[in-house]
Amino acid sequence: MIYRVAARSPLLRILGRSLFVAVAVMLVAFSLMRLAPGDPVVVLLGDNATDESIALMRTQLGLNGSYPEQLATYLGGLARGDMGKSVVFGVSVSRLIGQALPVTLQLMLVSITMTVLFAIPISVYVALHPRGRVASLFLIGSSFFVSMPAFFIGLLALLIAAVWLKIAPVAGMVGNLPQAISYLWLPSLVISLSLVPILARVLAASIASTIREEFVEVAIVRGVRGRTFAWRYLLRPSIAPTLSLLSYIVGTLFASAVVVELVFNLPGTGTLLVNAVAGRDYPLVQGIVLISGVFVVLVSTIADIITYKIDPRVAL
Amino acid sequence: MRLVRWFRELPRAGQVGVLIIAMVLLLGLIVPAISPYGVEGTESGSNEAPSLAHPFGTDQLGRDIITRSFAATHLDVFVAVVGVLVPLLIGTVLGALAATTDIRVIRGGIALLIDGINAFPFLILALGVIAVVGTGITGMIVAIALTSWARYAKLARTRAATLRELDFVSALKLLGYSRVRIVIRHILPNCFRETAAYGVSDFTLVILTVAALSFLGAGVRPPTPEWGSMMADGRMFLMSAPWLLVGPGIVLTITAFGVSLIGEALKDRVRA
Repeated sequence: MIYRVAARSPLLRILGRSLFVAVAVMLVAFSLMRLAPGDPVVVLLGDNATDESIALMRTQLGLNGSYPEQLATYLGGLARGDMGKSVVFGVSVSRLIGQALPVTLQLMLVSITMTVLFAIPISVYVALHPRGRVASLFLIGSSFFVSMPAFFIGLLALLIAAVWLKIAPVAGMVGNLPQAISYLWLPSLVISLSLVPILARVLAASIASTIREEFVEVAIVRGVRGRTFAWRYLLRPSIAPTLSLLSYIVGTLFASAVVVELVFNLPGTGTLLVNAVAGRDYPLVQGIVLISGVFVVLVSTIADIITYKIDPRVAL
Repeated sequence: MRLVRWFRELPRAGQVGVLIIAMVLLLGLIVPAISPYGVEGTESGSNEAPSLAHPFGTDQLGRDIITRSFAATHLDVFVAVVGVLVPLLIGTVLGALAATTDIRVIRGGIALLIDGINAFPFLILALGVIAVVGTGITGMIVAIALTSWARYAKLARTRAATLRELDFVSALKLLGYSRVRIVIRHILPNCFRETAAYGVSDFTLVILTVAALSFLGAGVRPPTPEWGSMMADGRMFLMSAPWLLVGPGIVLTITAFGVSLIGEALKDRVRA
């Protein structure tokens, strides 16, 4: 019955599918801490911990009872927004993430804006001149920039822009957007350097196939030119395929934010995660991993819905 | 001879990639062997700028950076090869299984895992696994294997699902071959061809992830020469001795570039 209703409404099907993935994401995050060889509590407290402290830590980490019971405790906690307490900082994981996430989100926002702004002109040019020198330069250059690790680009950028040219602050971030742009533009540029090739390549391929459509030819014959032509006849029909790339891009963004935040000393979730890994702060690691997964699911759901709205044929 | 033909038929960019990788691997053998300095030797002054005696300079402990950058090649490439092969194998088998089994629990379970794992950013989930299983080369390989297989499984599942509907599979069924035999002898090899091609392009991602994990202090531990951890040292001395960063960074970038050129070339060939 439910299946029938869902099958008829593509929107419901998209939502149902996202719900499935969200549940899967929670299960993976839950299993993460149970991967430990041996007892994570003993790993955390050392061999000469007292029985009471072990029992206390076990309750704190939600490791009491059978796996189904633990899972119930975990999901129950998540429903209340409770992701446990950080072992190192002694405060709730949700509070720590709540402080760090805005920094990461602002970094991602600036990065994705920059990426789109760079990618559009490049891809239009490459699609219009596929055999030109720029196109082959772009192909080689994109392979090269994708092969350059973000932390290498980041440190080089820091060295050149902040230390030698002194056009960017060396590290840290004060305040929020829009004032914080002076702290965020360089790390965002670093992230977008490795994302522009990926986006521009897909967009260029998509535009190239749009150009072969009849309505574009008709528009050229009718004499449509300039901005109207570029937007309505080239870009807008070519966007749908790039939207399916969005969840991949957001995932990559989140991952490069980890190294870039560390390089630029930004107090975001990436820096928090690296510290949590170093301190074996299991609840905090689990919380950040979960948030990254849920965020990607959320974005890809939105991307799916937009894709469906733009072009209903795409929805399966 | 087959190798020569394979090389000849590659697109130009792919040939360049093969030459780059061959050169990097060769230098990885030659440079540490002919270098007058040991990999962990500390006989020179610390943080010396690049010179004729030390073309890439020396690091904070007076170790020769060019020797260490190339000595790291084999470790990094080895970890990346294992980090591609293990998930490739697991993922393809599980993916093909998910598409061909009639047992709903297995199919649903694998589907849940594939979607759950693939939703996470690769580096973040790998970091999470390392936090639990521990750092070091083993921890890193376990983390990559546990998180990467799902990407291969997704490809293999789609491929196997298409294959099982094809005429030749129905013909095999009519001939009375068992389902297990059909899957192992006919469907799996077909899936492997597709996942292996993806594996080459995945190699770039894995080699960069290995370096990133070590850079973040979650991978190979010092004093073992490894690009990521050497670059983490470089970060400490960014202002006074940037060459600590540049040497390993260039070797890593060139290696990843070579692999991605080969990956591109092979992908074009699979499509053609």
